[in-house]
Amino acid sequence: MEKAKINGWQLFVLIILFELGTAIVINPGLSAEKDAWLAVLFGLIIGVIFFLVYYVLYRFYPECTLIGYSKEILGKYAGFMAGVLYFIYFLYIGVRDLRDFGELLTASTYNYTPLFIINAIMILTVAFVLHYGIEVLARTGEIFFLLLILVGAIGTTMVFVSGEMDFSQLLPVLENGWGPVLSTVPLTYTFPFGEMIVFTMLLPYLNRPQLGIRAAWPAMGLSGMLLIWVVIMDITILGVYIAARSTFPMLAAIGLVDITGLFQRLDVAVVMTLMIGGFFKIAIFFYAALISAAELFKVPNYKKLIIPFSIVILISSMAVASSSVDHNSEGLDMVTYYISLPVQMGIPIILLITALIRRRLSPR
Amino acid sequence: MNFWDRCRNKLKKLNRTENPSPEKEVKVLEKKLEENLIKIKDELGDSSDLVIRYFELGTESPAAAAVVYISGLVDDKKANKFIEESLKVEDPLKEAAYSQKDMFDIVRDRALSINNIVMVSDWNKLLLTILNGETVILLDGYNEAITANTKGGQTREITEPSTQLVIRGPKVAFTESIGTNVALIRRYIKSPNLRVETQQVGSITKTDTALVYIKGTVNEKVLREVKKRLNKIEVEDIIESGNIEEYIQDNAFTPFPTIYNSERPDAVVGNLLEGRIAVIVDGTPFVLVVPALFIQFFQSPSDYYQNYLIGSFLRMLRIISYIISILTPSLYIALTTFHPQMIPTSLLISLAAQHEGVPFPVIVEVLIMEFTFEIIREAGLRMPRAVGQAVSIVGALVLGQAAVQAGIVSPTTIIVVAFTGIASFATPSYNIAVAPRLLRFLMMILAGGFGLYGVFVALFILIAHLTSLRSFGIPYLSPFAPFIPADFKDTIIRRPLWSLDSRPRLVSQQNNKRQARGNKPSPSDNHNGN
Amino acid sequence: MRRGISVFFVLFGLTILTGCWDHNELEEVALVMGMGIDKTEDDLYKVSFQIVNPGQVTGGQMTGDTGEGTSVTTYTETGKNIFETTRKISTQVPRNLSFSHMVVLVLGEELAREESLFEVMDFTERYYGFRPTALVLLARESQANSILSILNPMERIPAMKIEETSQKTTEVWGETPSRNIKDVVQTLSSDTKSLSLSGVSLVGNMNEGQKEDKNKEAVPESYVELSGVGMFKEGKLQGWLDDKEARGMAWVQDEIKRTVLTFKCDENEEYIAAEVRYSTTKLSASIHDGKPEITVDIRGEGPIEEAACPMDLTDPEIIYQLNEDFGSEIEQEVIQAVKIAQEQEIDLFGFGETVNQSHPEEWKSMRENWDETFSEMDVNVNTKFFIRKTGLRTKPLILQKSNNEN
Repeated sequence: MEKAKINGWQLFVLIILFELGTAIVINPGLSAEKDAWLAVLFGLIIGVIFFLVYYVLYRFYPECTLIGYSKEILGKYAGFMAGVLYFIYFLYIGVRDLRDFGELLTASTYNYTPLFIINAIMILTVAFVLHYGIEVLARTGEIFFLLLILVGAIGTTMVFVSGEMDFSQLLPVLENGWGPVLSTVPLTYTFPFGEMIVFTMLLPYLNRPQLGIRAAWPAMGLSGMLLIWVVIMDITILGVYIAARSTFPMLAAIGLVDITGLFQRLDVAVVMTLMIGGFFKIAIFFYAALISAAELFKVPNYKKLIIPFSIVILISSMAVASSSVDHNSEGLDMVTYYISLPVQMGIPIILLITALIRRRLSPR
Repeated sequence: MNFWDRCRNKLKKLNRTENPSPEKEVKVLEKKLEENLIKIKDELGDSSDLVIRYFELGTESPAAAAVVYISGLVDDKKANKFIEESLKVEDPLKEAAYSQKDMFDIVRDRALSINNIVMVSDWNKLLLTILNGETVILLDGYNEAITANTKGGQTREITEPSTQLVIRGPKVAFTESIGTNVALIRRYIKSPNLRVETQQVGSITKTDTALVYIKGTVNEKVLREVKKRLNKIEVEDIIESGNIEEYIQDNAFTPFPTIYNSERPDAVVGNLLEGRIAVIVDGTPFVLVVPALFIQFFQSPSDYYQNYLIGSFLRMLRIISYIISILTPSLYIALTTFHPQMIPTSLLISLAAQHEGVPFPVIVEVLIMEFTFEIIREAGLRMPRAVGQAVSIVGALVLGQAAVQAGIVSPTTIIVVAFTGIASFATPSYNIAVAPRLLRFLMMILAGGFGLYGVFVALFILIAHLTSLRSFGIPYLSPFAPFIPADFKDTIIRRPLWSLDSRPRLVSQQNNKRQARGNKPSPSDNHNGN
Repeated sequence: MRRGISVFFVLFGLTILTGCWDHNELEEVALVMGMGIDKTEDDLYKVSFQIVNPGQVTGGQMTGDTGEGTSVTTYTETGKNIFETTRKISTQVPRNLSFSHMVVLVLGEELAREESLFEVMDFTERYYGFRPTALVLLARESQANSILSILNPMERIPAMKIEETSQKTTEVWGETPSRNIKDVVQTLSSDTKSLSLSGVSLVGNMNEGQKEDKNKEAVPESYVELSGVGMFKEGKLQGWLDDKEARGMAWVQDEIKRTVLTFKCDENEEYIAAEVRYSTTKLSASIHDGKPEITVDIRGEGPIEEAACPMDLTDPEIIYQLNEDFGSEIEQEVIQAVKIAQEQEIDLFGFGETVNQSHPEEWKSMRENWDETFSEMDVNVNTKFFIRKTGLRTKPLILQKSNNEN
């Protein structure tokens, strides 16, 4: 932990940038086809409810990160193991997001640039910003949030003006019943709403603890709404078949906007704005991994770990999958069911129950 | 000039209390006039501008007296009057005999009636006062000197500002004289709360610096910090306020200024009223203002003197042109060489046509032209005015026109470079306008390597760097980051004056309220009734 | 920390130095404006690329030789698939092809009849370089190659001429809809609608049309025009709709922006014409006894622009009558188009889509043999047309003449 404070607005902004991050491009809900928006909505609802677990744990131990209180709750050894697990999880998801980001850029614009170079530049930039600490990251987030809102507003207006949207594409609702929707919900919950677990590492920086939920819920709600809007936009512009087949549906959708020949091929600009979200998502996971490592292994200054960690993340981002197909299918099955669900739901619930029992048992 | 002397006294107090130098033993003046004079000559190296005048006081058993000053530093009229009144009018010896008083006291009393005097017996202090442009009277037999503030000599007249021009607003600029500058400020703020604290910086130059602020409005934390940093400076020379700036700024490794400077009294006064602190340095018309925020460099005093709608528009224009001056060349490179799909078809075809036959890649072309432009700009700035025009003619005609006609660069590149150049002139503050000149090259190289991705990476680094900056503890990018909606009234837009009712929250942490509510002008209700 | 920063900058510098993979100077890029795909006799793709010669297009002072060469050059290459040809063409073209500004994709009629579009269109949507807004047209009774070879006086780039013509005619005439790559792929991938594409045909001699000289003629001998709409079934061209039938299809699909309605007056052989300035079409489905039924509601409005009939246009009654007549005119066109589509068993209008959206449960059972169901289903057409004004004059000139005679 460094000595720093972030305020409620900064937390709000970070959460929005984080949630939109890579989810806005890859949009996990599309496996539910026309009802993707429903899947995202359910994912959001579960995420919002489950955030309470993280929040209650935080309020029990307002000074501690997830690593800190898992040691308090589970005891020295089990807590340490849980801490290591989370550390690896943060690092791994950071690696995956970096890979996602690199895949996006190399597939869309930089066809001939090696993935390694794209990733290297990104991780170096993240490392540079992180060496300034969490406060600067949060403040940088505020500026880029304004930029994102601006670009988003302009983009949405252009999409409307171009008249490409056809809302009848969304009909009929629940074409194939609830089955596809419900089977997609684990995906939309774990990515991105369940990933809020990483904020348990940042909540102790808040200047007022009660802001935790007051900033996080609206932020999750808003970003969920934005994700739903994007998924609706993708489907109404592209049609559900193209959207479901696209590697990056939003990119394809925006690429169709053509206003009087002057504003066309906005997708490149969009890729760059998406970089904002990707950047913050990687940065937050990276940061969480850094401070959890510093706390676990008692490194006094986490900044010393930045360079070695960025090299580790960079190399693993190349090694984590042999192709984009590999990478995506790993993300859909293995990560969702065997990593995300236990880490995002299982352990926190165990922690909460144990904490409650301990509080009941121990005299005040 | 009363207040000035008050400051001076205060300064002495300040120096005594805050800078006790125990190791320096206090050397006292000799009683013998001759010895003192020889010593002065010795110490000052018998400079040609050192004036020593001998007087014989009285006719019978004359007492020797001497006046010492440095010509050019003193106001001749004041010095002569001082000498005449205190030494020559009537024989002080006679009077001393008549009134049974000490001669020294009589001279002192007389001098007091016409000027502000200080008794000095410390040898070092005496030298300092002489070097400061004061006149010293030494009497034989007394180990004390009477010094009078006759500071003057040739200084520049108050003229119109030459750097921050406005269409409407006061046409006064600071001068090199610290006294005049403080007076200029005091003329605007007739409040007992205006505080001026002076101290000297530089072991050789002994440059007077004055700390000006409004008590009750200023952020005490920042004030303490400024004082601490000023006192920490231990150098030999301070020549310009820029020197001080470099010693007291928060982060040295940045092209962006974290201290505002201005030669306009109205700009400085406006900032003081917002709770900021001014540092006036003798010998330069540029006054430092801390803490400085990024957005402050885009505010021109004239914004407040004209219609707020126009003022807001102009401010947005400046910010946009600043962004243009950073981004345009790199965007041009990125779009033409990496993302031609973003350029409308007919424009792209015409760009391609222009570029046919140009031997260099776009990145090289732009770098050459940008570099040339920087050279022309710098050359035009340093040359005497008459030659400067020749530079611009050669620059414009030979390098612009001819380069295009020879097919070395494409016309669009010239347009881009020229546009960038003009946009960079639209920033009202010079020292923030120079930062993009440096950053531009970095961005161009990144754009040449990675297109828009490179530009965005550069933007990330730039913005993270900007947000990491602080000016005396105040985040540089506030009120944007950290986001303080209440402070937005006077940033990108300027709200009407009647709604600017509070000071920037981070800058001034006490006494935020600035004006009463209900200042909004409205026609009186009964003007058409009765 | 200072060391950290310097390490950062060193690493950064190194990565930049290695850059420039996707870097393309403007003069290294050949802008493909139009692409044509044909089929050769030995079952290969013959792909033609219309490439701009930038110096010949713009009249800037930089390039002194404007007007000497042609503004575009069309190169042709054959290959087993389309992507292969884009690289194989480098044996002829010294630059990298860039498809990002391509405006038309022309498919040869032969190709469209024999080869399924599912195979052809994959490259156009998978390959990043394509812009999905490029128009797709069918070379009617000719090869795509010859369509792209015709130069044209008005617009220096022929592909842009075709694109602009198509946009314009869709806007003011309405017979030939403009469909872009995304529309085509979208329709192809849905099972509730069949594809229809506008045709483009060559008038005059092809060899004449390839010469720059002919641009000096006031009446071009050979030119390219849009004609008809091709109907596809399962990605293969089945037949053509022309004139009124084509417009009838556009009415149903709500693709009419503006068009001209003419109607023959009863008394003599003259016509009265109205411009449709606004129109909407609503499709609704209902199911009776397990059989689907579609209702097409069309509403249009606009002014009378030309009247050669002796009618008193100041009389509201007559205007009401004309409203009816124009309405039935639209109805005729629609019924004709629907009839043809039903005969061919091609659901061009997306009636299946309509049924699916309102009756998803029933749709599931119909989906299997929808083509048959479609060909037998009842289609009700309700049209309404409203004349809003009659232009700058009230009574027609011809009425004046008959008044004078009396």
